Amino acid sequence: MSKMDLHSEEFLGTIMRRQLRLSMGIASVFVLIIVIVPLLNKFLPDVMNAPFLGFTLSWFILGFGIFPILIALAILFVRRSNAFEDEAIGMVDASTLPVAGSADHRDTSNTPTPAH
Amino acid sequence: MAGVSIIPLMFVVGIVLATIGLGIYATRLSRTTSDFYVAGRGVNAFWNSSAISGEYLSAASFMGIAGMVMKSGYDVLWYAVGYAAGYVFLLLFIAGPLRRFGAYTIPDFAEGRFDSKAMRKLAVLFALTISFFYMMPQMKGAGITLAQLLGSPYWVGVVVVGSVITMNVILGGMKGVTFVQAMQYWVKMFAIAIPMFILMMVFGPYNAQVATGGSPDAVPFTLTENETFKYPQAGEIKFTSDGTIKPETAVAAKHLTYGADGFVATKTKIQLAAGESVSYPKGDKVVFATPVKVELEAGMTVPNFTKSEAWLRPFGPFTSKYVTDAENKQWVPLLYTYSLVVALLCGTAGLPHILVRFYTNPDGREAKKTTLLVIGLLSLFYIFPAMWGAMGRNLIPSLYANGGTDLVTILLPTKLASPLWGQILSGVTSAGAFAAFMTTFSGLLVSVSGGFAHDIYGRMLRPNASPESRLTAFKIAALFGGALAMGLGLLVQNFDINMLVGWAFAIGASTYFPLLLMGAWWRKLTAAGAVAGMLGGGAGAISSVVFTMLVDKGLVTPLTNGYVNTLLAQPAIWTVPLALTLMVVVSLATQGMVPSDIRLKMLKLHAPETLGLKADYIKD
Repeated sequence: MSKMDLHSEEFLGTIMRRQLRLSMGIASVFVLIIVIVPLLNKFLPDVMNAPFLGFTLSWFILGFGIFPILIALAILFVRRSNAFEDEAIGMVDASTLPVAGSADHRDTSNTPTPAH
Repeated sequence: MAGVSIIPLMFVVGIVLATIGLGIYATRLSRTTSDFYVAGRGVNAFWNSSAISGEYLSAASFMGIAGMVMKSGYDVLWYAVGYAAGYVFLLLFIAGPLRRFGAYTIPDFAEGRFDSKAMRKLAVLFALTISFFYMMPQMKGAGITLAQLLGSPYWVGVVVVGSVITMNVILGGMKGVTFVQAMQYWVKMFAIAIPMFILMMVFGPYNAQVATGGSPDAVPFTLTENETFKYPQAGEIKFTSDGTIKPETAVAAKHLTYGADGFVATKTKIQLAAGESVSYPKGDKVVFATPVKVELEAGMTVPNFTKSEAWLRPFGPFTSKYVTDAENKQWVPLLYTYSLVVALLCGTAGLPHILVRFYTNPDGREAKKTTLLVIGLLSLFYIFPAMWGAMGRNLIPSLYANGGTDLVTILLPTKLASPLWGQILSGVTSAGAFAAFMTTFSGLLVSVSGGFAHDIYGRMLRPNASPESRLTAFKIAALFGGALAMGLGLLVQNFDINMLVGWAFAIGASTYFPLLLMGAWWRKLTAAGAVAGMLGGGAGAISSVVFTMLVDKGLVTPLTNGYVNTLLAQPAIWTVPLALTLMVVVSLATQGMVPSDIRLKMLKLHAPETLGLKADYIKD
């Protein structure tokens, strides 16, 4: 794949799409879990209220079970997201980067006064 | 209950002095404006995540969840889950872009993203609103805890804690706060976990407590002697057995009776005379119009005790509060649950004092790592509050009598056979509770004062102000902000701590969350769209919440529809989509307002920092 100009529409579109796909993918797993628990409570009360390790199954899920899942999803996201950042750096045509040695150069274009 | 508890008081004084001491020590380390606001920028992920967690774990987490689990059972577990899980949304959609953009506060982001001064003003306005809503429950926690320890009036706790923290913020600023916040996460973690392990060794493990509390044989505790309880305005007695009450002073009240189906049958206004005994049958309810001390006669069971099945199972009294008939009993609790969850998940990303901390990360990668660690630290913490609630139900049911369950973490250790150990462990949890009010309150106060000094004074009123005069503005703002928070804190004595915090979340979820989500990911979002969304969502959430508060205070006649009342008490399920929809519709109609350099802005939000696009917002 050919390298992209840092300021090209193509590069921006690519990184935003890839990042959004990653975030949405993990968010949908997460939201599904959160949405499904009340539905199970509502429609399968016998299962969710059954004794489980001294709790009810549903109490156990909210009291303990859900936390490791949150942590696992967060770890997955951070790994994938960082891996993608590395990949994104490799996509850019180095000649389009801000001049080397000016890392401390402060780009003022995002200061909010458009009055110039 | 009267009298001073010496040992817990010593613990509390100790934690307060340690906080002030660290604040003063830190003053010497913080000299520049940037230090004052954000602790420089070199705070590593471990300290930063401890500090975020320390700042986040408020009175609601330390006392409120336990108290509400005790009172209402299962449904309240959603608070613990939601408070932790909100960070997942923050991690997935907001932490990285926000840090990469280099904006220090949300108002910075709002102005920088849209090139609009009006956006900054609106963002500041909502930051202040959310912060003050969130300060009220911290003040309530401080007031009732100190009242318990000293036998002092409620206002003393509010004023003492409020003054101490305000002074600390004025002296030390955020550098002190970062340092203190990080340490106080570990104070709170220790304070909620260690006493609980000891209590479980003595009284039985968590699962046994839940099983006992939820067993059909669980019967309300019978009062063995006449006991007097203080009831706040709108305090209520739901009779769990036939019983006799005797108010100390004359009081107006409402008397409610219930039909066989469990719904209200009659509601009559009554007038109780001072010192006159009145008897009511099991199942009736009396609601007092004004604060009053009432003696409950020996032989009756403790009022307001939640029935075991309702406590143990989903869709209990908390989410069924607005159920009025058999038909809406089917769906109102489910609606309430979902709306609460939306508020908590989206609201975390809308808390100004938490978001500001992401700027202390050196880059987006570090911001993500910090958020991940926060999710771990909070998950660990949030397993514990429910344990206190479950055990409190079995060991100190008398707290049900006048809605005093918010004190369960403070009082439970006193049930140990050894009074000395009881006092020591109660001291540990009291210190933890104080750590909770202090850290959250100081974080909010820094956010409010910083909002004033940095956004209003430094950017709107006097853009050329010197760093010294901004620092002075910060200190003056902290003084006024602290005083206002104390004033508001005095008004909320009879609200559940957790309810108040839930409302701050609902407002954040309906304003900041849509702004950040859409601002970072949708380049067609315009300032007009963002303003419309925040105003629509914010107005919806704030008016709903204020209406519900006024109803609870008895100042406004409640509505009768169960669905409508639920949507007003927990508005996030409609206000968040409303805000998002308004943003989309209005933005599409005002595409001419999209900033001309939007591609560069989006690139800064999304491109890895190593590509050299980063430009930090604060330069001094």
